[in-house]
Amino acid sequence: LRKELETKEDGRYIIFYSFEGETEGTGEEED
Amino acid sequence: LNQLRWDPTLQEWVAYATHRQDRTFLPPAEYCPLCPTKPGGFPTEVPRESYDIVVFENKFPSFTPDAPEPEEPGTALTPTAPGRGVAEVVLYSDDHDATLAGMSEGRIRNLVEVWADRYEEIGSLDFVEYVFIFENKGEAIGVTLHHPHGQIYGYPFIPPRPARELNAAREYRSEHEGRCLHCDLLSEEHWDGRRRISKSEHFAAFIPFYAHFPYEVHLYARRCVPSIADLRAEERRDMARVLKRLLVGYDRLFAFSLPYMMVMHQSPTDGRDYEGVAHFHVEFYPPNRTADKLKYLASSETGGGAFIVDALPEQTAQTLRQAVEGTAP
Repeated sequence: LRKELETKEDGRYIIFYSFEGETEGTGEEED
Repeated sequence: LNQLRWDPTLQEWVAYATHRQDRTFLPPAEYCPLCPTKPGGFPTEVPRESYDIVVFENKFPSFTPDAPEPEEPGTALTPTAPGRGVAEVVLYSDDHDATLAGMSEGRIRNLVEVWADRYEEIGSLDFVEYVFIFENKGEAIGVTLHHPHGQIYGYPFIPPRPARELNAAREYRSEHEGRCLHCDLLSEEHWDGRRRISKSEHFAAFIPFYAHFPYEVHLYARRCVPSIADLRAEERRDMARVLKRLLVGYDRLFAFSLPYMMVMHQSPTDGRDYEGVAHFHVEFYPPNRTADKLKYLASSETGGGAFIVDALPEQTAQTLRQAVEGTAP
């Protein structure tokens, strides 16, 4: 799990989570 | 903007967040604020062209970390307090049309990781006593944005329903030689079997004997763990598997994407000990009692607090189990 914390223009935080491989793509099941 | 008012008749806080009246209401898909920001397109909540899973502070929060003292002071009988807490939005995917049920187990597994991470981070704030992870799905539940997302509240108090549940579990524990109420309920559901929906090595899903909604399902960790953050790697994987199985079954039940409320009950983060009292589980309340009829929280439920349910859990469990197993006639 990787987290990137950023601050939006209005001061609110936003966190981008990314993972090794498994959640790539559209999110729809691939089978 | 955010304030709490104490109701001394029910002994509970009511949260006021008047700015939420202005929140975005069912925008057309091309103006979805939860989609990624496309080059040359309008700026959404997410300033990137694509994303995996994203968490951000709600633009129209029910609670904020810096809520000021309320202008309305209240009285000794009806005090007020700042609506100090956390309100986050969790975006499950950058695909506007995706649903949790349609996502891969891998993505749901990663979402479990995010939920656990948020539980720990929000729970570590000294003004948060309860981390409430939830999803409202479908217009029948009052959802204002269709993009697949859930929410998290960091309440500055333990909300009434989990509080009642925790009190009941603590009382049961003291009267039954330290036994966990939820473990004993799980055991009874296992031996009875009629309300079972799905079961795996680490999780069990069933319609409880005392369900308040016809298709209400409780998904329990089989090991007595206080919170989602206490789940081991194999348990998190298993939770994703059973969660997906249940949600696919829900969508098969009436052959449409079933609306529901999904809430997680777990240990408060107020510094007290909840070992053997809090037992992590997820509760689902779909409003449908049939394909085209909804269960409304009307006078008895809202004014009396007494639920009247139209169908027995043993009957609805059989129908839902067939949908989950793909054996419906």
